[in-house]
Amino acid sequence: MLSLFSQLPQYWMDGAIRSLEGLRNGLTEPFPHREDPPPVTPYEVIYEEGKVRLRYYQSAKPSPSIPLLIVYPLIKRPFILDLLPGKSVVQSLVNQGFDVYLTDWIPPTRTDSWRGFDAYVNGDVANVVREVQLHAGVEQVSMLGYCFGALLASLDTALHPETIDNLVTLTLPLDMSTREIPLFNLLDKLRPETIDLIAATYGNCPAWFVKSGFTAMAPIHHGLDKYVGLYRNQEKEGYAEFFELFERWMDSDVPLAGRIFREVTRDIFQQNLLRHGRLRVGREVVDLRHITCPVLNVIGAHDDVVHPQSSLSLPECVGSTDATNVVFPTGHVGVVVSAAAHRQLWPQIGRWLTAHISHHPQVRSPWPADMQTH
Amino acid sequence: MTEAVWKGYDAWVRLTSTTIDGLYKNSLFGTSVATSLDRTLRWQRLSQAWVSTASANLWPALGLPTAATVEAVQEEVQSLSTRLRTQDAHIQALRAEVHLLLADRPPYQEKPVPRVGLETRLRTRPAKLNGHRPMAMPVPSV
Repeated sequence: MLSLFSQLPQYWMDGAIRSLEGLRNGLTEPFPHREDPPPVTPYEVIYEEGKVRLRYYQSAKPSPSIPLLIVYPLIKRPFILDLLPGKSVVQSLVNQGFDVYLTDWIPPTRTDSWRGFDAYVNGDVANVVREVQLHAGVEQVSMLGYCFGALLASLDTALHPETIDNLVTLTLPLDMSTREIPLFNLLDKLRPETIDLIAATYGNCPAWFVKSGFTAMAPIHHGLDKYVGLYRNQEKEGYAEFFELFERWMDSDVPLAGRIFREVTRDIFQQNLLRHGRLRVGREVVDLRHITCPVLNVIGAHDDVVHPQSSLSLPECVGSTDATNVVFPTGHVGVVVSAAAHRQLWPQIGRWLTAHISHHPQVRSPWPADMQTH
Repeated sequence: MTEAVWKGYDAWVRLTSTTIDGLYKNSLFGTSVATSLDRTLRWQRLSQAWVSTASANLWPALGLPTAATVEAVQEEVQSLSTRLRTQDAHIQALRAEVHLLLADRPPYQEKPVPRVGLETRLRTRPAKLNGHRPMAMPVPSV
């Protein structure tokens, strides 16, 4: 008990100093202050254009290997997908025989404030799909998107369905009409003029604004409880190491280009245009019924960032006859870092993808019936 | 006792989180936060416009860059720095690969170079005494 009064203040002070440093850097510098930690899985950068670099992680199994493109969100750095041995999505997929390609987004500068969905989807995502086609020698690519990345992947699949073989979405923010997450009620009060003002004042949505939003979702947890958790779990093997890396990722916010910030806040979140089939990207209105490839939609049952209700309606929106919801008992980040996800979810995702690549004639669901919801 | 304290703490966390969630759902609170943010941003825009107008002629006249110019250059430098670090890491990886390839190469064997005899070379070069007057050196017998 005495150690509570000596260690807990130290943990809290470390975190407070890190947060203040991050705030200072966020106010003065547009990019994450610290570099990414060393990768767990080796990769090479095979493409760089626009605001994206494409990483290639070679399969650990002999050929034939299956190419899989992972579209990462535009916010925070992607090392959460390759965090630690045994907690690495990339490593898990590589060990299952996939050639993994991962989008490493380049943070926007002030001159990139014009970039919206059109630039990111019809430009960067379409270009990396093309690069994977050329590099892997395939006509169609299997694509996996996480959160904001799932949104980009879904938009690309709807706009360019001929290039996509299979689509896996994790915690997709599709139907934003639900207000189960309390902070979203606050965001509803933001007028379109205020959203425009943020972009006009800073050029882009600054990193500190994005971080403030995530912190406001659970202020007690981010301000105090996670340090208490570190104290209470200090004897648990690997906990402190995981905590340090996870906090490093939580502090790795990057700016969001001005136009896409406006489009996400107004069009996706406030007006729910994508769910209603009225979202315009470039010259086209996005129709999710153009998604006719097999779809696997993974939902975190305890997700407090993208509420499960927001993702459930994907199978009824797409034109595919093979669209499956899987609700996994974890949170928003737990789908990529929890021990349970790496034991159960990612091997199952790998098996689903293997069973659904286009040259496999027979399609069987690897999911037990009680985990499927249609 | 310790268990009871932790249970109390956990209950306090739940209660405080629920209170904050209730605050977010409160319409009056939401409106006041949104209005405050809007006004703060407008004041910031106004002050940015005033400073840029006031300094637009003064700063260049003094040969100084404006804050916006400095900020834009800083962002560009940061972007280039990030790209350079990535390229550098790539180069180091390629260097390591080259070293590995060279290590696998069979050992280099130097061909023997025919050497002109020392005596022959000495014969062609007259010895010099102090004062740099050449003199003929006796050739040692082999």
